[in-house]
Amino acid sequence: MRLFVLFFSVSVITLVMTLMFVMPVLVRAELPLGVSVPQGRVGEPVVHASIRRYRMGVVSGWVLGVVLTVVLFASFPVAASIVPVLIAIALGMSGYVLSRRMIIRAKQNGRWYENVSVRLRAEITAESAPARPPLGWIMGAVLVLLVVVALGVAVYPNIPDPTPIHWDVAGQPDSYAAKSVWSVFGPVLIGFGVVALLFATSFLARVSPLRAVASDSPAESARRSALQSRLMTSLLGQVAVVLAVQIGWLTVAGWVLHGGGWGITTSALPILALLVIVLVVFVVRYRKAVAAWSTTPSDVRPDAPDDDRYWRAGFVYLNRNDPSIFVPKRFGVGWTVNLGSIGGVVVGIILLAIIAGAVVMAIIAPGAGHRS
Amino acid sequence: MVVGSKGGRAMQIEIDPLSEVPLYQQLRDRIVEAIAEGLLLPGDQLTSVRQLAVAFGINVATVSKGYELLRREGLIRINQKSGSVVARSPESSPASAEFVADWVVRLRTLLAEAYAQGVPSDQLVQLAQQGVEGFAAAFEANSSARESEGDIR
Repeated sequence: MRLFVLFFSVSVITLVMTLMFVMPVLVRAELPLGVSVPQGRVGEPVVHASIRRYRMGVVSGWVLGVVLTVVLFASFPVAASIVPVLIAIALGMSGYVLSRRMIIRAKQNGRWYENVSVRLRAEITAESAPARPPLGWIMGAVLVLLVVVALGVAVYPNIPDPTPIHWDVAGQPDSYAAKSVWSVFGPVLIGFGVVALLFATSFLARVSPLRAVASDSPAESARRSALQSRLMTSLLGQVAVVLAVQIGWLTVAGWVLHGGGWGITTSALPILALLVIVLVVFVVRYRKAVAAWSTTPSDVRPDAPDDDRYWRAGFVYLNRNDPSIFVPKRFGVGWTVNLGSIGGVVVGIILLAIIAGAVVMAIIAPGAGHRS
Repeated sequence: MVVGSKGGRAMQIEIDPLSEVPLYQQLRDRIVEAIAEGLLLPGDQLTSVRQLAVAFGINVATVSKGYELLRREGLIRINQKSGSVVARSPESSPASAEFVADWVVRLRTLLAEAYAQGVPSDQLVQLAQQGVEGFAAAFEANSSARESEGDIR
């Protein structure tokens, strides 16, 4: 069973670090490693060098994460499933923060923005339709959970009392609760909550459309913004379906296989594969979309202004003049919060609490579950 | 610079964050130009103050100030319910006498700037001519393009 932890942890590390590795091709050329650069400088050798250095950091994070998992999995299976991932991500992120400084230094020393005309661009007419929320995918996810509920109603009489509510990494139940509608259907309710949260997130594309960038032509920027919003919202919908299937599977397996076992531990594998497929399809389509307009030779256009000063360490956005709560990520796909706005601070604290809570729960829950 | 994409559907404007001209003034100027060129016609809905501030990533008060200038000039109408709407075009009605008197004062300054810098007077007149003709041609082209599109607003 511990081999499963090894496999699972290595897969997660590989997935996360692969995404970090390909990220430079998913962002626009004028933002290498999240640094503002004029169009005329995107080909500078220092830009390529810093991206190479960033990728070396990502690769070493991956290697360290995998080695750590291999060392830890036999004696500390719980720690082995979380700590190496966090360390790998931390290493990748510090590589990002350090290597982007090369570009920033070259930009300042070489006065790249001197005599470069910069503009902010925005739509003045309220005409373009925002991306539609991924209703089809969300309905699919809800349907999966409803089927699970129906199954639960059917097998309810056969569920033991007390019923297992938590399994250790080996798939053995390690925590029980008195049988009730809540302890039996609780996980499905959480599933509905997760789907609702993803659905709500898909509305971000409406609240916070992608900003038009002065170096694109108006037609290009409208197309880009529509395409990116559509891809991002449908990604959220697909992830909702994958998570609904995962939660549904685990729940049904818990109901049917009272003693736990492989049915529970192995459930993560096909789901992981599905998630990889969804992400790969997304990355390929996103990349294609980005490449289509990056190569369009157009007449001379002004640049977007250098707004590095609003991005602390290249990923924390703080701009008090910007009323946006959410802004598109600097280096990545999706949105981040504006810590210069009150709404952004509130949302940021809530998100941080959720993430910290999830990590803490994952670490302490199996050992400290309430046994009844 | 006013950037209209073909079909007149999505219209974008650009402002220079490093310019000495305040942002609200640039915003107002770009919208006035778009009205003169027929890129914005009476009844066109403008992006709301907040939305535009979010799209530019600038202060809400800046956008609000720009819109307020346009409202006082009678170029847009600001309505609690329906938002900001373009209120006039070159063809709506002749300019009021007060407007012309006020504008002549500003024109004098603008001409003085060029004259003081040594722009020859015939070139000055020629540039003015070109500017006005450009607006007339653009307005004609843009407004008739919109009509033939079967605008349903």
